[in-house]
Amino acid sequence: MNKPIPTSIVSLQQASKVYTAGNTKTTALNNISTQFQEGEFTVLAGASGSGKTTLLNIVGCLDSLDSGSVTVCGESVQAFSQTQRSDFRLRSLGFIFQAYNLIPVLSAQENVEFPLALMNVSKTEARERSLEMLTQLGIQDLAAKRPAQMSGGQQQRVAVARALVHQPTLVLADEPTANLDSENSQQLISLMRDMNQKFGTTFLFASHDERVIRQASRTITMEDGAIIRDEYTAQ
Amino acid sequence: MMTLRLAWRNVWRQKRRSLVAMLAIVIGGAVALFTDAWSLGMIKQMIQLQVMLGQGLAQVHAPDWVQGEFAAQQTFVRDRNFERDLQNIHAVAAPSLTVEAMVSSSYNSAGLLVKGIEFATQRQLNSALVNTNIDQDTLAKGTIVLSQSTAELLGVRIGERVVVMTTGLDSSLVSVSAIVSALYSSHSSTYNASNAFVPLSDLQTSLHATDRISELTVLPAERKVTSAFERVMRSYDRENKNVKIHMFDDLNPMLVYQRDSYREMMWIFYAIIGLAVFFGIANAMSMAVIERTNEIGVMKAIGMQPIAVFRMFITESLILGVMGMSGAIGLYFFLDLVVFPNGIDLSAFSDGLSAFGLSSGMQLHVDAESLLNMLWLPLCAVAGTLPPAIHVARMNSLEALRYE
Repeated sequence: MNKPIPTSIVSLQQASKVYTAGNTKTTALNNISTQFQEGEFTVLAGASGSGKTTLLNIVGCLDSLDSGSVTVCGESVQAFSQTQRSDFRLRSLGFIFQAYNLIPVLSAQENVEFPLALMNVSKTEARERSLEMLTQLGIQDLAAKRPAQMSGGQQQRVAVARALVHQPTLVLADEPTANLDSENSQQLISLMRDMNQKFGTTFLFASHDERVIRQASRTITMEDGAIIRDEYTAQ
Repeated sequence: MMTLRLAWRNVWRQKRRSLVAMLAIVIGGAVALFTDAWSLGMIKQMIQLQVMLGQGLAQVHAPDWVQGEFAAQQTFVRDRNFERDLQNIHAVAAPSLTVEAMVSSSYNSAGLLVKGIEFATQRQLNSALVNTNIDQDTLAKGTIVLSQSTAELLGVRIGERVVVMTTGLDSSLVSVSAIVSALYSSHSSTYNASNAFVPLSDLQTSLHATDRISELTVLPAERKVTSAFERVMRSYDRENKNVKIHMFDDLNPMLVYQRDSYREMMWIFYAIIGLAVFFGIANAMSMAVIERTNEIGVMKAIGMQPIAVFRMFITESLILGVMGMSGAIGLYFFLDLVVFPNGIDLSAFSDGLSAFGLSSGMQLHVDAESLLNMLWLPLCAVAGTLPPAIHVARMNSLEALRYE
């Protein structure tokens, strides 16, 4: 039996982005064309200022291209209004930030429930799904705790749960291990890899952490806004 | 639900700032309500005292009656059937005949309005006569009731004689003597200085005005103008061309104007307090927006719509406003019911108040409209949040995420 051809989740065609600050112009993306397939665990590697975060922001509909096109989950997001972008992010994307960025006034479980509440999922269902997600990540004991009562590693696990609870097609993570020690970093990467394999969720990371890069199924190395290397790793 | 939960917890995130903002609303609101209650209480008291100082809630006069003039021509024949009709609806109907007269003793004299009354009915609508030493239902023939201040002016005491001089219906000079049978004292020093009472029949006889009166004062049993009462009065007015009915509002245009216009004046006060609430909340919420910019960026990145972010901030200010309003109402009722349960003692100003016909015990009074006006506070709080809430709703999520 033939192996099914993976579907393209993200497609970038001749994507360019230039930031202007006063008289200084910085090319963040320089005519990039690439695709990310469903179920991939891809790392965008490269030094600071290489364009990793800009690429994530473009794919995450947080920023727009100056030229070229981007298609995410089959939709040409470039033409979306702000409202459509918000709605699209809610339905199709999950975000994990470097600084965890949990909502400080909500408990761990309420933070995980947050995207479900925005999607108008009933309170009972949101409770069940969020608790189930916390259990799968092994942090159900933290359900009632506020972010200030948790360690960095625990907060980032809750952030992963929040990013996955609404079953997005694509999870974007910007330096998720940058603020974690090596043990917590390793645990977090393993956790995300498990989720990737368990649910088939596509992960796209920006990282220069070797431990993350080693776990990736594909590594795209960027420099000065351009892709200089694109490697697949046999897992 | 999530919006409300977030808003509620965000309110208590910066406890001190929220409490200060709320306290400002509580104090401003309570002061506004207290001022409103003070004004309303004062006007209510003025009206009540006026009604119960012999004016009643309606008066029947001769058609050409002019307020403040007491000409003999302004009398009319008493209609006992109508008085009975009024008694049937439990209204007090007190006939009187008033003349301008010079009342003299051997020591001094004073120009007074001498009112011929039927004591039993007049006492039911005239608080000045309630506390006199007269315990029978009628004034004895040949007697006069003076105020304490007039008695002092004339240098007379109970049992002594004064001379009353006035003009009769035929313009002849009428002079009779009367024994001071009682002294009265009302809240109004003006009233005390200008009114004396004699038996109605005495005055009618002296003036050769048999069965004629200058006024029929009417006070309904409920002490307010009901539709049934107004119907009876209006119908009598239509059917009798020889008399004219004047309701309380017709007789007291200044008091009515004061009653009707004080709320408009109160709105100036509310506007000042509203402005303070507006800027206080605008400042507090602007600070909150600055502090939470990054968090708002995260919420928006996850998928929170701008309108939902806007709603969250508006809900926060609404919570502050509603709690502040409730606190203001609570503080007012604490002052009213616990601190001043018997009214505010203004006896230090009793002389001045008495000139306006007011007693020195000021009762606060709020009505439904006063409480409804308190909704102005959360409304101003919400208005104060509009600029920062609109700003935050329009904020670019990426810029917000990058905000340090």
